Amino acid sequence: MMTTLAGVRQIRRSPWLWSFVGSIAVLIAIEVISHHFSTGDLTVNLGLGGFLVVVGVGQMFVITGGNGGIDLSVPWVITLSAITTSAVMHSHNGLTLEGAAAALGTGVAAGVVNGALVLGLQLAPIVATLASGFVMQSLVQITYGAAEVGGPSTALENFVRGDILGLPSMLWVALVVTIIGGYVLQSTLYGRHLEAAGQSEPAARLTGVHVARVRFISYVISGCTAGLAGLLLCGFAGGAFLDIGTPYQMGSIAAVVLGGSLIAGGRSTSIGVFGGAMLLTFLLTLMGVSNLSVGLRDVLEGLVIVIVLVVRKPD
Amino acid sequence: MSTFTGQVGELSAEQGKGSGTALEARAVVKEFGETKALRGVDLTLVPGTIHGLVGPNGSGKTTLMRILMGETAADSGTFVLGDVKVDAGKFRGVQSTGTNIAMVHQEVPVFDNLRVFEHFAFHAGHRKKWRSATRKEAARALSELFPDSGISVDTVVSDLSLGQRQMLEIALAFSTRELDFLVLDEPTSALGRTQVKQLKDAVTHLRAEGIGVLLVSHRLEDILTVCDTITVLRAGVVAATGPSTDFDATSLVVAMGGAAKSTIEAPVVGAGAHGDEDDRNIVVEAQFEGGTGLSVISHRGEIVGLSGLAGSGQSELLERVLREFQRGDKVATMVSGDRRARGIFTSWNILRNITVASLSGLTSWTWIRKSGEIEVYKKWRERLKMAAPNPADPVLSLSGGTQQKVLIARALAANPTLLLLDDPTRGVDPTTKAELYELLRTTGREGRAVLWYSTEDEEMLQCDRVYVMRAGRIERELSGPELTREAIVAASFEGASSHVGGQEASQSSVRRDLLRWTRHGWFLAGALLVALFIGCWVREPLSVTETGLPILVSSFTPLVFAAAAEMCIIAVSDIDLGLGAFMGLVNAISATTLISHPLVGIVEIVACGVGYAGQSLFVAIRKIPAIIVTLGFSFVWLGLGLIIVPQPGGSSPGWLTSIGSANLPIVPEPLLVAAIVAAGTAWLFYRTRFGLRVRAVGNNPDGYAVHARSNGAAVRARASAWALAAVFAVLAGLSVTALTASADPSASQPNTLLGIAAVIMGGGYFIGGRIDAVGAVLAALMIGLLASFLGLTPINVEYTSLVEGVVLVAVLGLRLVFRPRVRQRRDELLLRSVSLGAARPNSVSVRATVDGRAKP
Repeated sequence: MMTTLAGVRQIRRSPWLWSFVGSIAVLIAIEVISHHFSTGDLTVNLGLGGFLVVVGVGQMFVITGGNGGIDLSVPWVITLSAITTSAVMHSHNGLTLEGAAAALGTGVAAGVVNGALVLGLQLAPIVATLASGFVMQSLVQITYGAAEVGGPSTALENFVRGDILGLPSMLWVALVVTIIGGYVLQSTLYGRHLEAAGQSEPAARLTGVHVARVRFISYVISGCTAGLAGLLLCGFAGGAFLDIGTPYQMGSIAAVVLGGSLIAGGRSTSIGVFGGAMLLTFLLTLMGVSNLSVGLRDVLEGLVIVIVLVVRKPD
Repeated sequence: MSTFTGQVGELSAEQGKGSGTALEARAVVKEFGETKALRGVDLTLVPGTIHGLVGPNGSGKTTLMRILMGETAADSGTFVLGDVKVDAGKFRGVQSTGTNIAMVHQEVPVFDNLRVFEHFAFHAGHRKKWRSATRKEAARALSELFPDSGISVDTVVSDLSLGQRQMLEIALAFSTRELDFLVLDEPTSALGRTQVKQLKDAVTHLRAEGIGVLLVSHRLEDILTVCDTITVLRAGVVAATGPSTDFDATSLVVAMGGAAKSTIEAPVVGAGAHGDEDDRNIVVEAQFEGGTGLSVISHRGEIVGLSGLAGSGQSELLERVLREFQRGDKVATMVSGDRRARGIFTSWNILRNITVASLSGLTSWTWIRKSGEIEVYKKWRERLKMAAPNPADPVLSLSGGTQQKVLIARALAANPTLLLLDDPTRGVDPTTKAELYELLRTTGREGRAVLWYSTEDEEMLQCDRVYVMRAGRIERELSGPELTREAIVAASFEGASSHVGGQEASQSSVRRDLLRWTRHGWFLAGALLVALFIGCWVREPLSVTETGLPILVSSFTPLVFAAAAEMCIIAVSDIDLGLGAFMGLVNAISATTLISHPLVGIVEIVACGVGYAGQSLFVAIRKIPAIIVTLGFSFVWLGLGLIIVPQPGGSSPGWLTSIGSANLPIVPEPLLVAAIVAAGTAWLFYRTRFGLRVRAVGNNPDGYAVHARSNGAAVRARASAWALAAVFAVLAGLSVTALTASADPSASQPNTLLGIAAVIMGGGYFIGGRIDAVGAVLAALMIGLLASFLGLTPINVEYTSLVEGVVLVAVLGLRLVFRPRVRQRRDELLLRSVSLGAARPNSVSVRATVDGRAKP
């Protein structure tokens, strides 16, 4: 009895659990509807969700910093970095590392620009990242030709599409990113200071937190994870295409929020982002197996987001 | 700076002005936790008299007024108004008894996005031509009170000086019709000598009209010259009361617990009193401009107090010192008494709240050692006798006093050279206070310096030395035998009779006017628009002719409507991330169902609009941020659109096409639509009560609830803004159909962010209810024309969004340059310099404080 009560209390204190409960519920629904949903299908889905986890963890850092922090430029960073990957690797295995470095470098550069716009020019994050997104959109179109000629190396393709210890390597990547994200947020000075800045800027200042600095770094982290996602997506898709990053703009924000992080900042959970991203991915699969039309899938996805927000205990 | 007026005026019109009924408060008791704010206070307000209320910090004045205004409930006591007798339990403020009372607050939020006269519209009755009526009323109220205030009724409040704001506030209170009583709480703190004189005249005039006035002021001179009766409060009891002729400045100070002036004429201990040895122990020194020439000097191992009337610059001084330290390598930490806003991290547990400032010492490589955190926690729990058994409990589960202990533990755990305390015992129970005093003494013995500001004069006796501040400077330094409560009270009021002089009138210059123009959002957007038209003409003269222009601007209409929709939502400080998807849905319905089944189509579109407006309820009632509500709904809109039109297709209803492509003489239709939208929204937002309510809610929802005396009013105003947005969003979707003659639900997506960008580029802000209707429409046109212009240049179409992004940043960056200067604080700190001990040579001993003496 006592343990049950403690368990209930634990769930109430751990908002991220909801996303896992939701994910499992969706999985059961998938099983009921399709009747032949195998563990193989499950792992494929987990791997697919991995891309959203990677982007979502970066987005989580920006949101944690508070003051309206949000990164709307992720789709363009992803696409740009996928193009960079493709152009630099040129389908040569020998250039895999160079390509990966270039992709991550693209992401970091984008993050630095976003950080400078938000904290240097003091633009509202939503507008600043929108503006940098516009600029990158052009860069995408200008550089797209180079990507069409090139392509990811076979090594990258094999890694992203392959398995490690029987599980998709993307799932491993997602787990590693989640764990690193959780570690940085919960157990390092930087993470604590970022959370402090997100909860109360005045209190954080009195405590000696360099608010602008920690927020700036959060944009660089988001750029970096978006760059990583672009690299991996390029390998997964066998090349870069123009709207390769599009689903991740709203998707990454939704994953963060569904995972139980506060949109206003100050409290986030990395593991929740993992759960939120998987929930969204499973939902899409569920709709796929139930032969729903594309439109109905979107409607249900939106309703699930709204219902989760309404039902969850307000903070 | 809101005034508490509202519908009271209408309710009791028959009761009439100056009803002749006295207001009596008997044996009022109010406790906050274990703090007794009022211990049985009697107060009688007689119509046609001016009653002065004085008392030192924390004597209960503010609490008493809040009770009279119904902002807080008394624990016990009786309130009598003529025949009406109400017990404390049922008393909901004087106005609930049908008597009119207005109050000028010390520091109440105003709607700084509204014009001066618009503030007078909240309590005015429904009238035609309300704007000219309230403008006249405002002008009359201001000129009667302050003939040379320099306030134009059309000024936006954020452009007023602090003194002018106070004048506005007073005028608002005075203009309450059918007033019976008026409460003035520190009305003159920001006013110049002339205005104080004018206010005195006005108050005297009110007395002649039979209105009862309660004047609360620290300026004893004002109290003595204006008031008929004076009541002195001291520690929650009435220390003295009687006709003002019975008092003079000295007897008032004595009644408040101060020493008579003659007994405290002790020599002032100045900076020079400390020897050379002391000099090496100086941790920080702050010098001031003019005044008494006294500096604040803090030595290691010493508890130094900052006292004086609240708002004399003490908190500002502490913050300056903290900033100075944060630039250097020595540690200073600060504890604020404002726990909720400036202290605790509400989402965190107790442990994290304590260790956040000392993490660098607990970190191995990057890892924060949990065991180290627990050690810190255990150490400070013991030293502070904290009743906090479980470090993992949420910090909010603790009592206020224990929360304050957590903050002090946090500050001390960081091992500071200097501990800054900003009224840290606010709302803390006496037992905890006593423990804190003991802890501070221990801290001093450890060799740390403590700089402690308190609003409780009693506490200052715990200090080694006390500086009494007055109007941003040091008025007096007290130490040793002369450090008594009486001396502090006396010194606090010493300079109080001389006016420092508020900032008078507004400086107007051509340059300032120019800056003000450029600050308007529409100015930059409009200038760019004109430049782009010229650019088009230079590139291709045909493009701006009668035949070319309609083609050039043909695609502008959807974005204009989208910008208008986002503007309505941003006006209430919300945001819509699903607008483009919603436009796509309306586009889908109007290009298919509306043609095959017109009636069904209309019903569907109306239902969509209602649903769109319904999103505001999630925001207003469920308190979910608009950004994620609309994010969720964006999927719903898009999905519904795709259900109706799985593949792009359909066509436009004939009538819609003909409306959308009407061939107008002279002005092309999109520009005419833009002009109508701009004029229409500008009229709605700036000329109607609807707009007034929306902007007030956008600026300060809680303040609006106070004005409207109902929480539902704020929800309704927000919903009405969203409903208007729904109308524009539907029009935007229809115009997409008219333009493209086909349905493609996802094609409208870019309008979401472009619409938001237009509102912000046009001069709007995400928060504060500040929007510029004309600017937003001009910016929408500008964005559209930018694409057309680039089409006329050799610049590749791929660069379009790059240029858009750069223009967006450039416009907002320019606005930053022209941003209005930050308002001055109520009492500016007249600080010349702050120097740290480390800046001096031979400061080895100070460093030793940090390294060696930290642990007992």
